[in-house]
Amino acid sequence: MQPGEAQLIDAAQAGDANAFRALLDLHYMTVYRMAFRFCGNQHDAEDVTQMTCIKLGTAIQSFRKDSAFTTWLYTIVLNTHRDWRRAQGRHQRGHVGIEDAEDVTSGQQSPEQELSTRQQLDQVAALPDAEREAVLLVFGEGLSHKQAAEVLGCAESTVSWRIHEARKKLSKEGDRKHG
Amino acid sequence: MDDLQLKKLLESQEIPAPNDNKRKEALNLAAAAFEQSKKTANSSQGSSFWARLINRHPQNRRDPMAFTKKKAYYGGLATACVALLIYSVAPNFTSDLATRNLDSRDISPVVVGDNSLNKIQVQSVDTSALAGASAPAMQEAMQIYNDPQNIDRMRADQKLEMEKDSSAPSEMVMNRAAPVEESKKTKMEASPVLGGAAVANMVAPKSPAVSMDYQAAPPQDFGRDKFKDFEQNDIKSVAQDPMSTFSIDVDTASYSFVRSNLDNGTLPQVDAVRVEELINYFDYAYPAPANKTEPFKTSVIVKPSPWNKDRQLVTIGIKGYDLEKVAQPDSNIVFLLDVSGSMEEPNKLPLLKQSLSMLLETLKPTDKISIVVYAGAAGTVLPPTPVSDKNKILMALQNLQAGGSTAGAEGIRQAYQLAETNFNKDAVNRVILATDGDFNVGITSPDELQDFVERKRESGIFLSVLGFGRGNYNDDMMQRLAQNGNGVAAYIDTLNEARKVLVQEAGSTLFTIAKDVKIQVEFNPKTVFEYRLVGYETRALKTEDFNNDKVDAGDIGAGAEVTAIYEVTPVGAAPAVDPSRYTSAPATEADKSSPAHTGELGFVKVRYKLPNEDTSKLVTTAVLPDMNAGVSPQAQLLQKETDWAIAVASFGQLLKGSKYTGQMTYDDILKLAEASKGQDPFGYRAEFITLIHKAKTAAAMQTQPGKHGSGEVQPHPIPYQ
Repeated sequence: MQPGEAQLIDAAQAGDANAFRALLDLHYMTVYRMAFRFCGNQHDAEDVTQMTCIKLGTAIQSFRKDSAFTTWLYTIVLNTHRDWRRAQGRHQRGHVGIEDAEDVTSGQQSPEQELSTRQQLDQVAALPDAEREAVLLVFGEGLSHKQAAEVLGCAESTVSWRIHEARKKLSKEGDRKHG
Repeated sequence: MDDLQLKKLLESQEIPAPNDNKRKEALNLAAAAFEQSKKTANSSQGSSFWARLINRHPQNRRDPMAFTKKKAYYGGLATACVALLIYSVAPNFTSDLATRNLDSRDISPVVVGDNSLNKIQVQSVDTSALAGASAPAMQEAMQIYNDPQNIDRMRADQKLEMEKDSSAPSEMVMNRAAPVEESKKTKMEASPVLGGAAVANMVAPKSPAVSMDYQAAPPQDFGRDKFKDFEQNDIKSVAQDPMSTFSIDVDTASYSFVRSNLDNGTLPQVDAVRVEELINYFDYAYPAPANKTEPFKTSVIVKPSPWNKDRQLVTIGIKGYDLEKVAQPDSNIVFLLDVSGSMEEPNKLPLLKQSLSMLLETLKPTDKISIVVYAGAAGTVLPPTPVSDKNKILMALQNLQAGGSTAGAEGIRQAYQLAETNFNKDAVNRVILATDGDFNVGITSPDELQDFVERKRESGIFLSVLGFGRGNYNDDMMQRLAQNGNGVAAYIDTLNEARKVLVQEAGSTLFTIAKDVKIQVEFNPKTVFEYRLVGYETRALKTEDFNNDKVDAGDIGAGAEVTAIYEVTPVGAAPAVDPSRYTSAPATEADKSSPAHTGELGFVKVRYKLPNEDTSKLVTTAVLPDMNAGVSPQAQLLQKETDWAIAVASFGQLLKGSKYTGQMTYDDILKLAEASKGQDPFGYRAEFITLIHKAKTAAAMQTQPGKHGSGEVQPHPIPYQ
C-alpha cells in the first residue's frame, strides 16, 4: 500500500470527491494495465478502464479494509471486464484475432521473436476464461496464487490447478506449432 | 511453457500509454458517479443487500477468506446494479439535461421569411439534438455502461435518430404552413422582441384543431410540449345562466408537469396549468361513503373568498368509496409501452421500468399482466402472465430497449387485441399506455385515435395513460385518450410520483367505482347574483348533457377525491356586472320558489353510473350558507382541507395570470398553505409549499419592472399590448 493511500480511501469513503479523484489517479495505470492485458488492445482497454472508474465512484463506499485495496480493485476490474465481454459477446462471438489487435509487443524484438510472441499471446488469449484470468493475474500482474484466489473468488488450490491446466495447454500448442 | 517463460512473455507485452483525454474523461465520469452515489447514499438499495449478505455468513468461519472473496464479488455486482439504478432514476440530472437541450433550442437563429420557415425548424431541432448527443457526459456514461462495445454503433444510431427527428417536424411544419404563416404575420407585426422562443412556439407542430392564443406570451422554456388551449371560465350571472355543468376530472398530469417546470426555475405554459388537476392532485380528508352502492359522498363548505372580500367560495368535495385490498377485483392489465427512440432519455424508459416493477407490488398474485411494446412496429413481449410469476415479468421489463420511430396506433390496436382475447367480464380489463405521446407513424391524429379508444370502451376495456418525459410531451393526445378511454392520465416525472400514482393510489388508478360522473350546480337567484367555476375549463358540459346518459364524462376510482370550487357573489354584495337597468331584480322568480329553499345558495346534483351499468343515478345536496361552519372537529377539519384546496386554486390561477385573484400574492398563498397543511404523511403538501417559493422566484425573474405600473409580481408579463 502506498503512503497516503489509506488516508485517501478514508477521505473518499467519507465523501471527499478530491480524495476520490486522487485515489483514482493513483491507480489509473494499474486498472488500465490489467484491462489492457485482458482486452488485448488499447481501445477496448480504455473502455473497460472507464467503466471500472465509473463503477468505483459508487463502489468505493463498499470497500472494507479486510483486503488490500489493489486486490479489491482487481476484483472490480475483473468483474467489469466479464460484464463487458458478456455484452460484447452478444454482438460478436469468439475472440478478436490477434492480427486485428494493435502492435502490442515492444519494438526491441526481432521480427521472428515478435511473431512468436504474438502467437503465444494469441494462445493465452484463446485459453478458457477461468484459466486465462488466473494466468493473467498471476503472471501478468504478479499476484501470488493466494491473492489471485481472493480476486477470483475461489480457493487457492483452484488457481493453482487452473494455471497448471493452462500451462499444459500452452505447452501442447507450442509443441504442435514448433514441432 | 514454464512459469518463467510465461512471465517473460507477458512482461514483454508492451502496454501503450493510455490516451490522456480518455484518462481525464474516465476520471470526470467517475467523479460524477461518485457525487451521484453520495447524494443517494441514504436511500441506496445496496446497503440492505449488503446487510443480508453479511448475515448469511457468520457461521461459515472455516474459510474467512472465502467470505471476503464472495463479498467482493457480489459487492462488485451489487454496486454495479446500484450505479445503474442511480443513473436511471436521478431526477436532477435529467432535468438538467432537459434544460440544456431546451436552452440550445431557444437560442437557435431566428430568420423570418416564408421559405426559410421550414429551415428554421430543422436547424433548431438539429442543434438541440446535437447538444443532447455531444456534451452531457453522464448520458454518455449510461451508454458506455450499458453496452461499451456499441458506443460507435449507438452514436451512429443517434445520428440517424437525429436525422429522422429533424425531418419529421419539418414535414409537419410544411403541412401546416398556411395557418402558421398567417399567425406569423400577426405576431411579427405585434412583437418584434419576442425572439427565438416565440418563433419556436409558432413553428412547433400543433394539432390543427388547436387555435393559438397570442395574447399571453408563452413563458420561456417549453420545447415542443403540446397542450390544448383554453380560456378560463368567466363570471356568469345567475339570472341568465343559473346552471353550471361539468364533468369531474381526476387527472393529475398538469400538477406534475407544472412541478417539473418550476423545478427548472421556469413558469409553465399557461395552457399547461389546469387548476382542477392541481387541486385534485392532493388527498383531502372528506368524509367517506359508507358502502359501495352509493359510491361517493358530497361535502360542501362555504367560506369567504380570499380573492375578493365581497365574494364567497363554495367548495364541493366528493370522496369515492375505497376498496379493501381483499375486495379488489381481478385485473387483466395490458401494458402498452412506448419504446421508441424518443423514450430513451433517463426520465422516460428507465423510469417507466421502475414504475411498473413498483406497480407489481400492489397487484394480486392472480392478476394477469401482459406487455406490448411499440416503436417502429408493435409486438408482444410478454404474453398474459399471472403476477405470481414475477421474475418472468421483471425479466421482460428489463430487456426493453428504446429505439426507432413511434407507431403508437398500431401498438394500441395490438394491446386491445390482447386485452380482448383475455377478456374477463368480472375483472378490471385495462390497457395502460405509457408514452411521451409522440406518435409519428400510422394514425397520428388525436381524433382518429380517440374514436378508436371510444369504440373499445364500449367493449369494457378501459385505457389509462401514464405520461413521461419533457420537451416533446403531447399532453393534448394523452388527455384525450385517457378521457375517452375511461381512465386516468397521470404524468410521471420522478420515482416518487410513480409511487404516488401506482402504489399509494393504485386503487383510484386501476379500479373505477363510478363512471361518467357529472356535476351540475344550480344557483339560487335569490341569494346568489353571480358565480364563477374555478378550473374545469376543459371539462365543461352543456346543461342538457347532464341528464343525457349517452354523454361521456369523467370517472372516479376507488378512494379518489374530487374538489370543485365556485366563487359566488351573494345578492347584495358588489357584483362584477352591474344589475340590469330594465329587467327588474329576479325577485319574481325567487318569490315562486318554495319557502323551504329560500336560504339555500344552490343545489348540487351529481350524476354517475356504476361501472357495469348504463343508466345513471343521482345524488343531490343543497348548499346552505353556513354549511360545515361549526367548531366541531369534523367541521374544523373540513375547513382546513378547504383552505388547502383554496390555496392550491389560488396558486393555479396566479400561475395562469388570472384576473380574478385580486391582490393575492404568492406570499399570501404561502401563508394560507402553511396554515392548512395538516398531517401530510407523504410530504406532497410540503412539496407544494416549496413549489410556491419556486414560482415566486421564477415569476420575479420573468417580470420586467417598468412595463407594469405597479411593482406587484405579475406571473406572465405581456411584452406587447
